[in-house]
Amino acid sequence: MSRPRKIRVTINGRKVEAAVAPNQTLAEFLRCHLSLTGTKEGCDTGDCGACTVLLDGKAVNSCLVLAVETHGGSVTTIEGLSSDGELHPLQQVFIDNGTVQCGFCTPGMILGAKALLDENPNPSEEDIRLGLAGNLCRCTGYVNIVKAVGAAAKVLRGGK
Amino acid sequence: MFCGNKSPMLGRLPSFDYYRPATLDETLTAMERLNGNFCVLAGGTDLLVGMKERRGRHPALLDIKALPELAGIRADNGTLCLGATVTTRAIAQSPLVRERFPMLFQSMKLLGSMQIGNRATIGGNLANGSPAADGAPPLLALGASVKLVGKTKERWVPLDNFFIGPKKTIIEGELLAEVRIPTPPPSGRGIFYKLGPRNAPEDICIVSAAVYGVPDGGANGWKELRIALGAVAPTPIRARHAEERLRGQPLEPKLVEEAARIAADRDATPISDIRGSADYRREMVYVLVKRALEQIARDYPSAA
Ligand SMILES: Cc1cc2nc3c(=O)[nH]c(=O)nc-3n(C[C@H](O)[C@H](O)[C@H](O)COP(=O)(O)OP(=O)(O)OC[C@H]3O[C@@H](n4cnc5c(N)ncnc54)[C@H](O)[C@@H]3O)c2cc1C
Ligand code: FES
Ligand code: FES
Repeated sequence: MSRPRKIRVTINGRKVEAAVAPNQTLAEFLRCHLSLTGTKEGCDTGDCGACTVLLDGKAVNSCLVLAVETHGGSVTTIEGLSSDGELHPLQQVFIDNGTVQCGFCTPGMILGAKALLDENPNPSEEDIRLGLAGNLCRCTGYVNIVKAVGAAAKVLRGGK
Repeated sequence: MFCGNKSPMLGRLPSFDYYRPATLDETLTAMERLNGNFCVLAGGTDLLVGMKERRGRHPALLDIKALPELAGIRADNGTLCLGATVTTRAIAQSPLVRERFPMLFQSMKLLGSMQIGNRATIGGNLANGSPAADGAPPLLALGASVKLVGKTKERWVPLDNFFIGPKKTIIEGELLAEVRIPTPPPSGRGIFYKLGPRNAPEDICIVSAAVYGVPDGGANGWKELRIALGAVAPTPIRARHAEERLRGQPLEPKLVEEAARIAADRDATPISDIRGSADYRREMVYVLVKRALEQIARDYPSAA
């Protein structure tokens, strides 16, 4: 049973072909098959957001997506945000604002924030808090995280 | 390489076969061939969690997200048609829904986090049969119907007749294809309240209440007034006794209080669980229904 399926999916801009078992989640596929261990697994049930990646530009919990479901799609993980060795503005402001304590929530938090800012370049604090409600930080660094996302929004809007 | 130190309670998903048909017809044929040995997969936010928690095991999952017949939000002569695989977040982001069906907008906005809402579908929310499904109370109050499609027949069922028990719906080897909401009159007004464990989306509610009213235009009352409740009975319910008490009368403070009490004491039959005790739930039904009726009355002073 459970024949492996061939999938073709673009991961961080790179075309990947693989045979995956239908019961393999996207999170497992990224971590175990592609060694992209920046994606974290906290709860495995959709509650914590540590496994957040962008699937076709939308933030999803990769622990609740099957790898087979991504066939033909495009996935961005934390490893895909920087370009040519340069950090994405969100990554830089997360560092500058002291948002990282243990760091377990950080990759998911940054991708959640990216999805939020892609949709709403000028969010209020309330928008940020609501938008990131599905990303839990067990070190409770929310104050700095919310500040950082606001700062990143500014940078991304070109300093305005 | 470290691949995740899985807790023994969860662990991997049990194995299954996976099918992703491209059309409704292919899906119905596959359903017939699999002869009950399958489970429909929409967003997977209920199903996959259940399978990880070993509450359900299925030899095959039939992914319906590629079906064009089940996709999209349309207005058909004012009737709102929601394809079963439309995500709850897409509904919350639809200007049409926001303008014409604010109560539905409100409930979809509060359904889960951004990540959940990007996967969760309206069909899955209803077909899952949870008494706490956020989509259910507003859709019950708005008089929605669902289209169920099988290999040989299709039928429209009022949502009022759709839920049978916890995790049980009237679906019999069928696909839920579409949800339809009749055109609300311009004067119609709906309120949805969700009481959750924290002041944020993402959480399954403790109690939810939807109230929808259409004033009769005169000074005395309401042509229609529907009250629906979530998480206080084996299924999402209409608060029929409370509705009956209010029929044809102005929403005066004493009557509102009495009706809210009836909703809490007679219509609601809550249980105690991890999210709240039965007593607390009853009390919250009283509070939410009263608050919603008062709000509606304020919006239409002439009818109140
Ligand atoms: C962290 C988290 C938070 C959540 N928060 C909320 C919340 O705040 N409010 C809320 O209401 N829910 C919440 N949920 C529950 C869930 O996200 C919703 O109920 C969602 O709408 C389910 O839709 P789905 O497409 O993911 O369904 P799936 O998991 O794919 O399916 C659910 C069930 O319905 C069946 N099914 C699905 N579509 C069809 C169809 N078209 N025809 C026939 N059968 C079908 C499936 O076979 C399965 O049995 C939450 C879940 C998680 C994991
Ligand atoms: S690991 Fe996916 S949401 Fe927690
Ligand atoms: S920094 Fe530790 S969980 Fe957020």
